Amino acid sequence: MNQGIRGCIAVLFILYCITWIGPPVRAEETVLVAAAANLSHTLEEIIARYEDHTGNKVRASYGASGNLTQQVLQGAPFQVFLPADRKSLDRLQMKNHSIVASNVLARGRIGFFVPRDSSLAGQDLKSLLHALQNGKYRRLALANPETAPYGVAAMEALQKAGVWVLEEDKLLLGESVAQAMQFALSGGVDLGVVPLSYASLPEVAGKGEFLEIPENWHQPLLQYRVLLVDTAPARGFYEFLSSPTAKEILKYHGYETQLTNDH
Amino acid sequence: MADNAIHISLRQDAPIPLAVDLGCAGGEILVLVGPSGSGKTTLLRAIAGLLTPAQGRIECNGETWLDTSAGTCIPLQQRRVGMVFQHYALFPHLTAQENIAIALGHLDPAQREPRTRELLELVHLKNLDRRLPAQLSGGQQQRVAVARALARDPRVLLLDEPFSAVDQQTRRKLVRELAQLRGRLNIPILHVTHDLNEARQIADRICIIHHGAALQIDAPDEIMARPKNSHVASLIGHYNIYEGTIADHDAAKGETRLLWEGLELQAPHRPEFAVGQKVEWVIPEDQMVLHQRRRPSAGERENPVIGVIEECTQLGHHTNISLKPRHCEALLNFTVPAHVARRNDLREGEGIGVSLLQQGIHLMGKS
Amino acid sequence: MMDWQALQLSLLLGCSTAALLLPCAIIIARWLAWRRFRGRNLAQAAIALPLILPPTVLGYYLLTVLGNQSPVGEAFNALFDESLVFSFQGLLLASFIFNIPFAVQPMQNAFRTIPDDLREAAWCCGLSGWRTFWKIELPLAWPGVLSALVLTFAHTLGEFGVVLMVGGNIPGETRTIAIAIYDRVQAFDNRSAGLMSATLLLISMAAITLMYAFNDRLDRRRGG
Repeated sequence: MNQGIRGCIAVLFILYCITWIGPPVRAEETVLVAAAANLSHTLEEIIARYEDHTGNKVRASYGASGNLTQQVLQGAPFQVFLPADRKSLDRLQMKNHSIVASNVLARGRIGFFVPRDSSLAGQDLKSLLHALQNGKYRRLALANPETAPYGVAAMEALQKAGVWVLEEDKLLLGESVAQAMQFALSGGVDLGVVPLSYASLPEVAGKGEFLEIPENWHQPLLQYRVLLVDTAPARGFYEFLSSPTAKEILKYHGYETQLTNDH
Repeated sequence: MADNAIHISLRQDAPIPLAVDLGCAGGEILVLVGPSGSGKTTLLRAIAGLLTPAQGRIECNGETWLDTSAGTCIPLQQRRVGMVFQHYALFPHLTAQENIAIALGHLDPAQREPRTRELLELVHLKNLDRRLPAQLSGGQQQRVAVARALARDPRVLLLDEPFSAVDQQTRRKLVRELAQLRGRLNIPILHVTHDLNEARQIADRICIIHHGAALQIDAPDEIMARPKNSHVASLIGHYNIYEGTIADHDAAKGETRLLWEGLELQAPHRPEFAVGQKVEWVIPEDQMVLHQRRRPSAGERENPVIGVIEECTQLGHHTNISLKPRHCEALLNFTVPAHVARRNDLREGEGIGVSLLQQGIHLMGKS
Repeated sequence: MMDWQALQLSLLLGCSTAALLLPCAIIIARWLAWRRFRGRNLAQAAIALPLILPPTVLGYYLLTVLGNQSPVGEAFNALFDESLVFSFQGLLLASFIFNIPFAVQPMQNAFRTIPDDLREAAWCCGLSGWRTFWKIELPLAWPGVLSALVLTFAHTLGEFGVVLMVGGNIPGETRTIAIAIYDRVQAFDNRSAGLMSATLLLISMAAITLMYAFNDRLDRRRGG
């Protein structure tokens, strides 16, 4: 009859049609994984292999272990959880969240990342620490120790090296290690304390250099795997994480997988 | 009884006071006149059902639309009312034809189209049916509004200042059309305006409204010549309103003598006023005759008032004159053609005389 | 690379939010436009609140109210055996709430500009309240309603903070295109982030341009 009404009905119709499709149905077989941010690239490779092998789907969400724990507790529908510390596991247990199985997956390492344009570029560990102690740097990026286990390790390592008398305004705290690394890559930062696993990433190659931090400078960075829900696909992926294929990939990215079981 | 008439009786103190009792017969045009804010639009809205007054009764063509004492209030959609709004309130997104057709909901769908044509023809718009209101002139818009109001086959037609938004020329044409239309419709037409001249042209009867009260309802000439009281007189534009005392009645000569500040005036016989009673009286300005200064005439013996011109202002082709009579402080105001003022050499400070024609003097009880 | 699933999720969320809000916002907008009542200003302020509140505040309250430990969250859990937070349903609810001002305000303005006498004329023509709404009010307020829908849609596509807090970053469930972009930046994948940002920019720009073009055409038609 007139344009207004016709337009009205048309738009309404389209809107409700689209809505009718409903939310994208998450296939029952799809496994949802919550993983510590440091694992991101490594885990994507493992997932790709797993999907090739089995045809099952796995989708992962990355973040700081503390944040992910919070989400799991709030009811986020994750089936497998890969935190970077024991504390996250303990918190789940404390809140009586169901845990089907868990154990240590790997041990991570951290290192200094010196961007190419940094004033500290080209130095060895000793002179680097010297420069840090003397405050000869602009900004230092690391993960927030409040939520990220790698942030805690970074803090311990710096304390051990005697430089944890840092000027707070020079600290750049990332929400997770991923953000800390992204800060270090985006310029204006002289140094990042990040997972050593990032050294193997093509995205990072050529943008700076890595200096290993001795492992005894901090508490061991233990990567856990937790099975939250006991479904066949979830358990399948959980098991695959300890397969030789997965271990090989972890090792390639600098994770230690030969572990004594005393952790 | 289905008499095509409407009877309205409304009472309300707040928010807008109303005190109205009136009726309007089928085919009659009753014009409600009053200054803006006098409650005339409120009255129309109450009839249409757009507001419900505190107390009242409205009966139209034998149907009771409102009876507050019985708790009856027919919703406005069921009152067969044709309303033309002040600014027409045409639906801007609908064409002239659609504006009319939308009010034909009471007809079968098949009848709507021919009825729309008929109505468009009735208001001389059959070639403009596809235009939107914004593409029509003021007069054309008004015609669409009238056609839309008639579309419901109304039992009463309500017109709220329908001519206020068009120019003089269009207004004359529309007034003529309304008069023709009235001949075909046998329903009461209530027309609201603040323009007394417009009211005098089209009204069968005029209702003077002020502060929501109907002060006087009468034929136009009757109201102009014999306002009920000084309030009505001033509302219809009389400014020569004075106080006086009844001196005596002379039934044989058909006159009542009146004392105005000591000056005796002869007025038409009004025996209902007692001798010695204080009254108000009014003289319309066309009932005052200026004394020719060079050629005195017989008419000058009728209620002569001699005085001095206090103020003399020319406005276009007319001259407004304020005359201060010799015997009192009140001023007599009248207008003469400018050439008359010139020929008689009327200037401020000049002494002149006027006669107040006996038939023109209208006595009113003090309000 | 392009995260199609996130894009689809965003579009779906935008459309669902707009579809859900449409009837509710029309009711609220008409109410605010024409009714004078006590506490009207308070109601208007409450509706405008999401405009000025930081997403984190909104996110925090939503988490608190909808979380698994809250009565609402528990009830939802019991009914549907699903968590309200970190789920599409929860995201939709959050999106509904933070879009209320974007939907209500343009509609309220549109309804307010309809002169009273037009509605009265419609009633005098014998139209019921419901038919007056369809035949007169809605067509006249249509530009405002359309603006409200487009703004809601575009704003939903662009919302980040609340989505992250209430929805997390769960692929296929709550990872909207905005979150996916953030996620890609965090993974140093600037190429994908750039591609998705450009897509989002184009979609939003197209939606808003279409809205302006449509309203302009309508204006010219009615203006004669």
